Amino acid sequence: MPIGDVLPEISVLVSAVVLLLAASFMRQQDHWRLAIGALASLFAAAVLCALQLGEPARLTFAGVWALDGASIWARLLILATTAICVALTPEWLRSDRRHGEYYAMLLLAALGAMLLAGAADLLQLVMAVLLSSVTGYTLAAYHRAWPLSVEAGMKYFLVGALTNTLLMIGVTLLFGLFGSTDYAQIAKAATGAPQIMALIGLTLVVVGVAFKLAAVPAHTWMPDVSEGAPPPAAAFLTVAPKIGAAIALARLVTIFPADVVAWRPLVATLAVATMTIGNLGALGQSDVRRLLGWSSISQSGYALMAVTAVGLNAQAIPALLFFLGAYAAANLAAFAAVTQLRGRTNLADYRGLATARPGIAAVLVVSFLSLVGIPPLGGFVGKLALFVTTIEAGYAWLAVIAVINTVVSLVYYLRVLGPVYFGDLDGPVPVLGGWAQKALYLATLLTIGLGILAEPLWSELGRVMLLP
Amino acid sequence: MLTLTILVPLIGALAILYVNEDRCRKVACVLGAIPLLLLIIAWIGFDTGAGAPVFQWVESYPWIPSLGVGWRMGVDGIALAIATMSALLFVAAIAWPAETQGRPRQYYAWFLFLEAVSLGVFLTLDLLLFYVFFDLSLVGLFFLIGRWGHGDAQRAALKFFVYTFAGSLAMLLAIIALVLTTDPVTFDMRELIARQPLAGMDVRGALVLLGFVIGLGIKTPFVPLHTWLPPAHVDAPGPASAILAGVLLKMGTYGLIRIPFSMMSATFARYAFALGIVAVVSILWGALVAMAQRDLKRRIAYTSVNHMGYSLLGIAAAGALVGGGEQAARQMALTGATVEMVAHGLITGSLFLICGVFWQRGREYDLQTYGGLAQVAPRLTGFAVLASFASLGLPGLAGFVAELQIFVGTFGVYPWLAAIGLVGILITAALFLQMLQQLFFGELPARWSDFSDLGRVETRMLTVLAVLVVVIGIYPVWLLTLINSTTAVLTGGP
Amino acid sequence: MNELSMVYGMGLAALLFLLGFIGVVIRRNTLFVLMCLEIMINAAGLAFIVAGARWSSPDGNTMFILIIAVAAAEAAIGLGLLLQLQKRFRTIDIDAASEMHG
Repeated sequence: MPIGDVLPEISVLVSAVVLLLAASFMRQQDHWRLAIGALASLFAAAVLCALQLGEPARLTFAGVWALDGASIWARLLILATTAICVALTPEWLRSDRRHGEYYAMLLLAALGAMLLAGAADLLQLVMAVLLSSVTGYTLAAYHRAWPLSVEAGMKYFLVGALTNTLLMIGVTLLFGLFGSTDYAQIAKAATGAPQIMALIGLTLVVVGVAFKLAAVPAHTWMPDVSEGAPPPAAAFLTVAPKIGAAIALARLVTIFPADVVAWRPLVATLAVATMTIGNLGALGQSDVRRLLGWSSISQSGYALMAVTAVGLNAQAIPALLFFLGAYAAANLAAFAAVTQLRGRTNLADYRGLATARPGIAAVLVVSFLSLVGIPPLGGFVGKLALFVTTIEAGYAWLAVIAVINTVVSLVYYLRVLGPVYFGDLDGPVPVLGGWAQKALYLATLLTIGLGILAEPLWSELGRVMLLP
Repeated sequence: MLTLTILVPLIGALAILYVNEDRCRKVACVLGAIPLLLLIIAWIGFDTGAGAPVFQWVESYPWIPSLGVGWRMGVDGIALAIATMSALLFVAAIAWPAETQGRPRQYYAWFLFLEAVSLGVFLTLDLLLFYVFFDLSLVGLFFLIGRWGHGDAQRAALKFFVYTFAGSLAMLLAIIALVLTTDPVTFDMRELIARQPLAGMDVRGALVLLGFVIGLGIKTPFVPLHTWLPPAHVDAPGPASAILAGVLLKMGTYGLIRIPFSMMSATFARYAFALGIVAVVSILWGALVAMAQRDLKRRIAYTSVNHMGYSLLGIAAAGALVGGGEQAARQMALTGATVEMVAHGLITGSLFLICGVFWQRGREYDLQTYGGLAQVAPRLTGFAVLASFASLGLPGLAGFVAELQIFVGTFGVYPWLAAIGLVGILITAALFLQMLQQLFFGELPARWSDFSDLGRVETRMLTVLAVLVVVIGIYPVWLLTLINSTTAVLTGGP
Repeated sequence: MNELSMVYGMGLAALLFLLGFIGVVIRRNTLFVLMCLEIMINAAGLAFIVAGARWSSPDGNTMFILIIAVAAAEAAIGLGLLLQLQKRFRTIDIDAASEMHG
C-alpha cells in the first residue's frame, strides 16, 4: 500500500499521540510548550501535504482516498486553521488541569476534518465524520466545570449522534442498492432511470454531512457550541469541519448523474434554507458569540451554492475553496478577537471598544466586513467567485437569494460594529496575551491579503479539479 | 497620475492617524487638495479636439488577471468634470470647521478615505473596481454619519448602509451577468463599451438593466427608492451631508451614463421612456414633498431628489434612440444632465454646509423657529440666497445652464415629459423663496439675537463654491467644451 | 440468502430504527435517549449485514464490526457528558439544561 500518500495524516496522528503522552508526563505549567510542538507538527504535515501538489491527481488505497487538488488544498486550509486555533489556546487554558491533552484532541479533530476532505468511499466518509464528531464533542465541553460548556457539548452530541445514525442508515441504503461503498463503483452502477430509493439514501447521507457543515436541517448545535464552547474551540469547530465537509459533500453528490438522482434541487434547497435561517437567527442576537454561530450557519449556506454548481462549470470547486479560505480567515479573526477580549460576549460589553482597544476594534471591522463581502477583503472575492459560478451554472435565482441574505446579514454585523465605534466606554477592557494577539493579527492579515492579493491563490486554485 | 489621485488621500488617511491632533485639519486639507491639483492638471492636459481618444490619461495594471480584473484608470469629459467638482467639494468639506467630538484624527482619516474611494468611482475604467469603490464609499460614510452625526445617528447610518448596500449588490449581480457574456471574461469598461455584449439578448438584457437601474437608482435616488435619503441627511454632520449630496448621489447618475447607457445602449433605448417617467415622477414628488417639510435639512434633501430627477430625465432622453437620430437634441440633454450633476454638487454642497452652520449655532433645523437672520448674519444670508437662487434655476447661475439644456434637449425627444417636468421648476422656486423668507426675513426671535455670522474659513470656502456657480452660469464654455467632447461620441454624433 | 429472509431482515431493521427514533424524539431523559440512539445504530448494523448478504459481499460484516466500535466510542463520550450534566445541573432531563437559547 502506498503509505506515502497519507504521510500528512500519519504525521498528524503520530504527533497527537506523542502530545498526549507528553502531556501526562509534563508539569501542568509547562503544558504551553506542547502548543509549540503542535504547531511544529502541523507545519510538518502542511509541508508534506504541499509536496503532494505536484503529483497527478489519483485515487489511492484501493480507491477510498482521493488525492486531487480539492483534497490537498482543503487539507492545507484545515491545517492552517488548526494552527491558528492552537495559537489561540495556551493563554486561554493556562489554568486548566488538562491543558496539554487539548492539543492532542485538536489534532485528532483536524485529522477527522482532513479525512472528510479526501473521502472517496462511503465507509471512509462515515469514519471521518465520526472521528471529527467524537473529538468535536469533547472540545465543545472542554470546560467541564462550566455548565454552559457542558450544555453545549451535550446538545452537540445529541444532534450529532442522531445525524450520524441517519448517515449510517443512508450509507446502508446506498450500499444495498449499488452493492458497493466505493464512489467510483457507485457511479458505474447508478445509471438509467431516476431512483427514488437512491435519492432517499443520498438525502440521509447529506443530512449526516450537513451536520458537520452546520447546514439545515442539522444546524441547531452551532449557536450553542459557538456560545458555550471555549472560544478557541469554537473558532475551530465553526471552521475546520466545514472545510472538510463541504469538499466531502461536493465529492459525494457528483457521483450521481443529475438525471438519476435529482441532487441539485436538494442541495440548492438546503443552501437557501441554511443561509436564510442562519441570517434570521442572527438578527435578534445580543450575544456576540451566539451571533457568530448563526452567521457561521448562513455562511455554510453560501458555500452550498458552489456545491450546487459543481459539475456545471469548472470554477465551482475553485470558488468553493476560495470562499472557504476567506471565510476561515475572517471567522478565525472574529473568534480570535473574542478570545483576546477574554471571551466577552454580551453585546452591551462591546460599547466603546474602539476607544479602549482600537486594534481589536479594527480587526472586528475587517472580519465582519469580509464576512459580509465588502471589497477589497477576502470575503468579497470569495462571494464574487460564488456568484460568478452560480450565475454561469444557470442558478441566477440562487444568487439573487444570496444577495438578499447578504443585505440582511449586514444589519446584524453592523449592530455589533455600531456600539464598538459609536458607544461610550464603561469599564476597563482586559485582554488575554501575546499568543492570541499574534493569531489575531495573522488571521486579519490573511483576510485582507486574500482580497488584495487574490491573484496568486486564485490562479493556482483555478486548475483544481475534483476526482473522478 | 490618476492612480496618484486616489493613492494620496488613501495613504494620507492612514498617515493622519499619527499626526498631532492640533495640526490634523491642516494636514488633511493639504492632502485633500492634492487630488484637486492633479485633476486640474489632467483637465488642462485633456484633449477635447475632434478625433481625440474618448478615454485619456489611461493607466492599466493587472490585479486578478484570471478574472479579467485590473487596476484600470482613465477619464472622459464627463468623468473628469464630475471628479474635479467632487475633489473641490471634498476640500471645502474637509476645511470646514467641524465638530470632531474629540477625535479629529479619525474624523479626517475617514474623510480622506472617502475622498479616495469617491474619486476612484469616477476615475476607474474597470467595472469590478467601480463596484469596489462604490461599496467602500458606503463604509466611509457609514462611519462618518454614525460617529459624528447627531440625533438618531446610528439608526440613520445603519439604514443608509443597508439600503444602499442592497442597491450595490443588485448592481453586482447585474455586473456579473453582463460580464459573463464576454469571452474571455473581462471587466474592462472600454472593451465592454466597444463590444456591447448584450446586444440581441432581450430577456437577459432587460434583467441586467433592471439590476443596474435598481442599484444605481437607490444611490441617485429616484422615487420610490429614496426613503433612506432624508434620515441620512438630517442626522449626518454638515460636511458629510454636503459630500453625500454633492458626490455620492452623483455616483448613481454617473454610473447610469457609464454602464447601461454606454455598454448596452440598445436595451437602454428600449426602456428609456420608462426611465423618463420615473424621472418626471422624481422631479414632481421631490419638489412637492420638499415643499411640505418644516425641517430645513429635510427640505434640501428632497430637492436633491428633484434635481437628480432632472439629470435622469436628460440621460433618459439622450439614450432614447440608438445611432444618429435627433443627435443634437440628445447630445444637449446629456450635456445638460452632466452639467446638472456638477452644478447640483456645488450648489447643494453649499446649501448643506450652510445647514451645518445652523446646527452648529442653533442645534435646530426647524424652519419655523428661525427668522430675520439677515439682520445678524448678512454674509450667511448672502450665500444662502445665492445658492437657493442657483438651485431654483435663476438665469446667470449654474443651475439654469444645466436645466435649460436638459429641457431643450428633452423637448426634442419626449416633449410631454419635458412639459410636465417644467412644473417641478415652478414648485422648487416657490419652496426656496418661502424658505429664504422664513429664515432670513421678518422678525428676529430674541433667542437668535447673538447668532454669529460666518467665520473666516467658512466664508472662504463658500466663496469659492459660489464663484464657480456664478462662473458656470455666465461663462460655461470651458465646462461645456470638455463635456461635449464626450457626449458627442456617446450620442453617436460626429 | 433468499428473498424472504431479506425482507424480514430489512423489516426488523426498519422496526428497530423506528423504535429508536421515536424514543429519541419523545424521551426527555438523556440516559434513555442514549439507549435509543444505540438501538438505532444497531438497526443500521443489522441492515448492513442483510445488504451485504444480498450482494454476497463481506463488506456488510466488516461494516457491522466498524459500527459496533463506533457505537462504543459514541456511548463513551455520551456517558461522560451525561455524568458532567448530572454534576452541573443535578438532573439528566435534557430540557433542564437549556440556559442558552435563541
